[in-house]
Amino acid sequence: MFRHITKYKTLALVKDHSSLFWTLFFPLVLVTVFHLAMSGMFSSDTYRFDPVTVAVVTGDAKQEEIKAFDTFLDYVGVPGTPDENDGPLKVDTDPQNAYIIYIKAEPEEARVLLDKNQVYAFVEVGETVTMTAKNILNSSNSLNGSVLRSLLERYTQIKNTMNSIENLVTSGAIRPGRDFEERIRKAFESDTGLHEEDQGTKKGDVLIYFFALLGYLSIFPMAGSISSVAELEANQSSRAARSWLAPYPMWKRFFAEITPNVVLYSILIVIIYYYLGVLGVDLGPRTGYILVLLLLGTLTGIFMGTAVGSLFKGSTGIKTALGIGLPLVLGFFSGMMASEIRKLVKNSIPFLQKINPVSLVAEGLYSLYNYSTLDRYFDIVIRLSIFLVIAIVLTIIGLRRSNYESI
Amino acid sequence: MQTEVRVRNLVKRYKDLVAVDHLDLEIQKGEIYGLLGPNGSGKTTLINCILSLLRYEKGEVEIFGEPMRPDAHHLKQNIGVVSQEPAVYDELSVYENIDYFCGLYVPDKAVRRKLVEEVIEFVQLDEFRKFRPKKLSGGLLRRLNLACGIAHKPRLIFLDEPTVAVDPQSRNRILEGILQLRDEGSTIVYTTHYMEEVEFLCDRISIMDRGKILITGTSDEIKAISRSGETVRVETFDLDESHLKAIEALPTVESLEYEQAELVLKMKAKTNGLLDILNYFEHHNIPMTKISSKQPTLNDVFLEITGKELRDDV
Repeated sequence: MFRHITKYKTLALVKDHSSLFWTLFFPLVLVTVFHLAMSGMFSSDTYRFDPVTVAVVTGDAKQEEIKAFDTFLDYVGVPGTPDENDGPLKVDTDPQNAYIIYIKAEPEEARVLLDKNQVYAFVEVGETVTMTAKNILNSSNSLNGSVLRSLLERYTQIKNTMNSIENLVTSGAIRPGRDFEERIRKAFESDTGLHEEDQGTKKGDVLIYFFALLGYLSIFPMAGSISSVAELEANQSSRAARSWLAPYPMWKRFFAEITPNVVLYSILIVIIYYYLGVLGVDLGPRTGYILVLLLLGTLTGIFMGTAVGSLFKGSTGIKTALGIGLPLVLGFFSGMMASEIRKLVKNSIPFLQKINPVSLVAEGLYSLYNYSTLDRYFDIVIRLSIFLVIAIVLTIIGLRRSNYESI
Repeated sequence: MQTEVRVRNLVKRYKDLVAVDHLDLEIQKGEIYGLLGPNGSGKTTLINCILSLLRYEKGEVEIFGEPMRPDAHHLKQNIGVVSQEPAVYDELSVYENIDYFCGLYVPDKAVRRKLVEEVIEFVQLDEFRKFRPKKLSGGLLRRLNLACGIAHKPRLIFLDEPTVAVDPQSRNRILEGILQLRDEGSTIVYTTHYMEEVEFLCDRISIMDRGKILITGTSDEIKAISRSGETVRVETFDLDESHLKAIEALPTVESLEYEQAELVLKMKAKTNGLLDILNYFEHHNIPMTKISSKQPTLNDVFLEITGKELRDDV
């Protein structure tokens, strides 16, 4: 019976061309459009990110502030030297992992370097860090400005946090453990996202869009599974009522009904992953972990749909609209349309990011790409699994009703 | 006689509306039982309550002598339902649709193949077996809907207005098929608001209105309770006032109207009024161009009981 239902559901799914287009081709078209929109950033010739040239003015800054900033520079930059022909700062080695090429300078020297466009900006180190640049609205310069500003903001945040911790340690309010310094270092690395061992590159910033897109496409099956539940609920259609009257338990019909969706969407997400590879979007070498995360996200999307379909009253049309709209909204909050939104949500409503399954998938992919350790990845897998279990439980509750108040 | 369906004191409410009102009924094995009532009288709600699709406030439902529950799969195995709305998959062909729904009851492929072939022949859809439902006319679609509900040869079949919006050819085919199903041993519950159909098909009829069964019996038994008799129509040009008074005074005549050369006579119940009228016209040598007589219908009975027409779309 299970095979019989599954066979015909698959047949109906395959023969429904409009649905098939929506299921298969829309995600592939979306991925292609995304890729075309960002193809410039992925071209090996045009993508190459040139480090921002910066003059660093320490002036009257305290020694510990200079030392802290030097540590920061070690992470993000390489020292440069002035070009004899008044060109931008140059470096002796290939600055392939550097965001910044810097030169230490007095205030007057820094101003001259800026005026001659030998540096993009000069930075004055003190209790606060200030940045001075020109032509910041010029499109070719605005990316440099964003990167530099973002780095300096991160530095300031981390410095303030560490100062606070130091004060607490000094005052005896907290007692650091044996691995205190190591933990601080890890926090610094993970917060800056600059870490580690060859994993991190600046491409990751652009990939955020693709991570969010994959998160969205994982949850995308929601609408399809809402329609599947409509085939189980006798109050949704006369066809469902006819199936309901068959001598077959609801939960068996549910699994028979949902199996084609699970298989189809699982295959689809794997195809999308490899299709991205064909397009030249490199999501990193951890294919196994990535696929596990994407399949988990797909299952979550399917069962979110079944939960919505079985719990909420109302027409299938409204529920399907919810199934289409909700993943888009969640994708939006994950930075699929604008990466700034992701940061905004992360800073302003972190709770939303923690419960948004699209964000969870996107953050999981991000962590796989940027961090060598898997702690964060597994944390996300656990959270997503909890989400999945909740969706399954809600589905069971929704489908448990044995008959209807009205049809 | 074995009782296939027994309903006791069934009450179903939609908020303040009582859709089924303390209803009792029994359906015997091998009969075609007609539920006749206007739209909104509670026929479909009653069927859905019997099938345990709908929750009800009060009452008991037994099918094949056992309480009917949503999880009574052994009872469901022997029930077929043909809903008012065609319940088929647009993406599947005629054959695939029938095979799919039959397969929910019959797991054995070989047995199922035979049943599907039989039902395709039964509803005469052989030449359309590869068609998708969207390519079928309304009548053919209804036949497919019927086939999907009965392919597994159920012992008890519920047919909920299966001939709505069906062309005469398909309607006749469906009605003949229902009689055949009864002859093959199935018990059939047939809901409709077409009184001609129940008169043609049903061994027993219940007339329903506002969630209640008003009367149950054979077509003749129900019509027999009517206070009015047959209606006689006579086309004649030569009736003056004196003749009209004389005809009205006949013991079998209840009332009369004479307009535009047509005399319409309502005769008293259980009388042979037509003979009286023929005798009167012959005795007085009054020429007539046409005479007809119509026995009271179920609609007349319904009108008498409820004060309204059974349906307005005959």
